[in-house]
Amino acid sequence: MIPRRDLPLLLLGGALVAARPAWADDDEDKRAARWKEVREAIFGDRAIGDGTSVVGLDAPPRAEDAALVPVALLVKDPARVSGVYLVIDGNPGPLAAHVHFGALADPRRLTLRVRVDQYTDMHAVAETRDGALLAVSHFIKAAGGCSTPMGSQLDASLADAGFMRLRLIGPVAPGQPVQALLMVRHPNFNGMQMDPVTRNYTPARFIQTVDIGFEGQPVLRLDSDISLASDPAIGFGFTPPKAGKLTVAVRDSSGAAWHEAFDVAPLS
Amino acid sequence: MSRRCPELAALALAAFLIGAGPASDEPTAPWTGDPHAPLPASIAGGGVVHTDALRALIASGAPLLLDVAARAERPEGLAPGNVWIPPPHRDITGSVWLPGFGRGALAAEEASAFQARVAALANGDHDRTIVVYCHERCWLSWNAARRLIDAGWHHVLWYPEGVEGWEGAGQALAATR
Repeated sequence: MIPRRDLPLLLLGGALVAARPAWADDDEDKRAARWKEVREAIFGDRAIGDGTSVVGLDAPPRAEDAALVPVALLVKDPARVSGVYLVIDGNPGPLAAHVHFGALADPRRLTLRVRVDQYTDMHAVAETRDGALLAVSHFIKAAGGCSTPMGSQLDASLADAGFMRLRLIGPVAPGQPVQALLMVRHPNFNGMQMDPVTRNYTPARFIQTVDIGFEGQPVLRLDSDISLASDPAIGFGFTPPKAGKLTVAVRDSSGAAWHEAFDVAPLS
Repeated sequence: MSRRCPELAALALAAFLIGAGPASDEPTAPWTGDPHAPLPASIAGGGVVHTDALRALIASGAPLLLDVAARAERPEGLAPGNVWIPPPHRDITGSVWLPGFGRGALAAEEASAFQARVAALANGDHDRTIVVYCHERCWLSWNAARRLIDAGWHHVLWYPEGVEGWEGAGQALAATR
């Protein structure tokens, strides 16, 4: 051990070598290069324009929990948009979600909870009915790459996987859009989580598609993978033309499928 | 050959001392819970080094930098047409990436492979300063550091801020193999 009296000198030494240039521009270049790589992998050589007037992406600047990052995809011009992609550039599987809107969708606001591996740009890419791609981006500080996060608690049992609940937010009236929150029990194992009992890695098993319809008409279809957080909660809007049943079909990577129907009735 | 100024060694030790705080509620063995969770403030028998001190340590000496962050593996059952393109792994320049050795539990052969790798990297010098890190809020580095301390490495420093702390302080990261 060294004598205490040497500490101030040593601290000064530390302070002197501490001044170094920032690398901000460098980082921006790296993020732009990553977006190019990811964009080409997902969309090939399709052009992607500025989506500011068409689509929005709401997410925190810094995630409290990288395993559970709330994201809202906002469509500002619903008549023009047929679907939205959520891309998390820094994730190994960067295409976190692809939402196809059906005839009864109200695409203005769709919410998800996702996993984010590292500080990264995220992109919301809207696809218009005439086939154009328009994007906006958001930088987020989140670091889940540690082991890749599993969620706040290990409610990871598959026993009640597929159990669903639906909450309607606001009154229901025929022909009027209403927001809904669909909650699905599913651990969405990404293959990197450890079983606390066996200490082995749990094989990947995750939700691939969620199909939502109303009385036989499509509301939306969500394609996703391991970027979706455990126990997905999907907020979406739809316009029921009358009282009826909202139907949900969930399928995961093991081929398991679950079906549920929820009564949607106007308050009389 | 390598000129070892006494200040450099002392600087390393200073970082070591500054980090050695009072005993906290840290576990006595590798953490087997969710590795992505709040961290203790200390590591018994070793030191905690923060960004400025680590920067000084790297600038002045040559600590062995061990990055034990996990490697992303392609999950089975990824939908056809979906993409799997892990970004290049990035860590502090000059680091050696040893994914896997910070897990909560290691098989006996993995544990000895870890010690053998570190011994080879340190040329068997158990007084070599070793800095272990991964990500912020990540137990993998604490676990790996715990294993090294327990195995008799004398100057093990744990850098809890990880690559995010390093990059957040304006320091460069480099792509590793």
